[in-house]
Amino acid sequence: MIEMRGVCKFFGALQVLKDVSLRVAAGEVVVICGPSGSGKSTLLRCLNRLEPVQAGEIVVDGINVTGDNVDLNRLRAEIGIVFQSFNLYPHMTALRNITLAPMLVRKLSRHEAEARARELLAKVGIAEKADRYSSQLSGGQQQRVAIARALAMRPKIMLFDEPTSALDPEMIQEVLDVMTTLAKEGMTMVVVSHEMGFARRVADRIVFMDQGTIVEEAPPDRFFEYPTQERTRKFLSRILVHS
Amino acid sequence: MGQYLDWQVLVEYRWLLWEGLVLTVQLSLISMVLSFAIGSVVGAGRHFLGGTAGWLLAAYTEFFRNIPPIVQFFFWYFAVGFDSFVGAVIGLSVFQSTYIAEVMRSGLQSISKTQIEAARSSGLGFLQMLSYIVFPQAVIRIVPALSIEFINIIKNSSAAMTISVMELTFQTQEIASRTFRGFEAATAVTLLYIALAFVVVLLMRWAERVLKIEVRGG
Ligand SMILES: Nc1ncnc2c1ncn2[C@@H]1O[C@H](COP(=O)(O)OP(=O)(O)O)[C@@H](O)[C@H]1O
Ligand SMILES: [Mg+2]
Repeated sequence: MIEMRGVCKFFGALQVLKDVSLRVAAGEVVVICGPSGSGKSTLLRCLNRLEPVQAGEIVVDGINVTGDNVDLNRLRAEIGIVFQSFNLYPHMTALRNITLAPMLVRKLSRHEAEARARELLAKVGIAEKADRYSSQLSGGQQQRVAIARALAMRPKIMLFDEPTSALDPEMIQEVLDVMTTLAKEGMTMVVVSHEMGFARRVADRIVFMDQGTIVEEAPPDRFFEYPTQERTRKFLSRILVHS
Repeated sequence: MGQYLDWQVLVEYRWLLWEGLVLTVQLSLISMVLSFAIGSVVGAGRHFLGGTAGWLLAAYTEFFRNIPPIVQFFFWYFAVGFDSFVGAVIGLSVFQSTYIAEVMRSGLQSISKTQIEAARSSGLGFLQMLSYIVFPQAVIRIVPALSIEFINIIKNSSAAMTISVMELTFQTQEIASRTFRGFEAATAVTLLYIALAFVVVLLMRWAERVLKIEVRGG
């Protein structure tokens, strides 16, 4: 579903991704972790070409993302992305946030789009918040609306960039629960997160990044019990103390 | 020519005042719409475009902003040969569009890049992103600054009398010269301009409230 080969990404002279290769199969859940500044967000953003890359190849759902003639809007319609800071549209209700892209991009009628939106709001557990604005919602509720907004496009892939990092502790679980359900339903997911409990339970594979490279990738059991790289062990010992 | 004030002349010449007022309102309203449209495009262009296009728009802004409106009226009327009302509309719209462009640009700059990313990554095209996400949020923030520009349009429209648009100031001078009642005429025109500005302020307050309700649900 996702194939990255030898991807290099520079911001000016700073190399943020160094020869990164990663494959994600359909239905797979991959959790990416690593220290701040290691290039996790950049990797996600390259997948839907919010950031162009300087070298390497990325193919998503058969679309060559790094090619010259990509239909970006079509590509992006197939990839849902959920940001750390929610990024809901503050001048629209939760419902309108969710119906906008399906109506404009997928050409759904208002009626169809709203039906789908209400269904998704119910699925993420906030059916009654349809007419609220983001300023009237808690962080956890906002993030669940953001997930519903991404799902409303019926994407083939969902990307999550630290979806719970900006949340108060008591709201983290409600968002993780939604993501767990999604994973169980077979969604292809790439999740940047330091929620190691979630990673252990839900991920098929965990990828550890440091300084723009993939240092180690393994299924959760092996990743946590027998990390092969010194940097991974150091990172795990720091992060597991906290959680 | 007595020393007393004769307000009766205003009643006598009310039709001149009325015609002047109507023309001022027409001139101002059309110029508000046009300068807002041009200013939005120029401001958005300067915000989103780099290179030659961005440079040209910056040049447009600097050039027309620094030439007094009255000179621009002369240009369109005498040099280009437009009808006086058309010349005034174009002159006023172009002049004020440069200010509105700057207001619009600052409004756009205040919209977080993450909003644009959210819109783009859901597959919205550039114009869809602009018209559904960026513009509505920017406009709400610039309503107070826009009211000032709209009031400036009304004020600057008085210079159109120099190319014989028979707007409010023109008619007031007409009354003054016919009756030698300059003080009364000046008082009337002052009050009328204040009233117009007041109407703009009220309408913009109302617009702001309606937009805010749309945004934050009250
Ligand atoms: N738009 C940008 N311009 C310049 N540098 C950037 C930009 N975005 C990210 N970086 C840099 O790239 C590196 C990786 O950033 P990021 O992908 O956000 O890391 P992570 O998500 O792992 O914390 C950091 O050093 C960051 O400062
Ligand atoms: Mg990040």
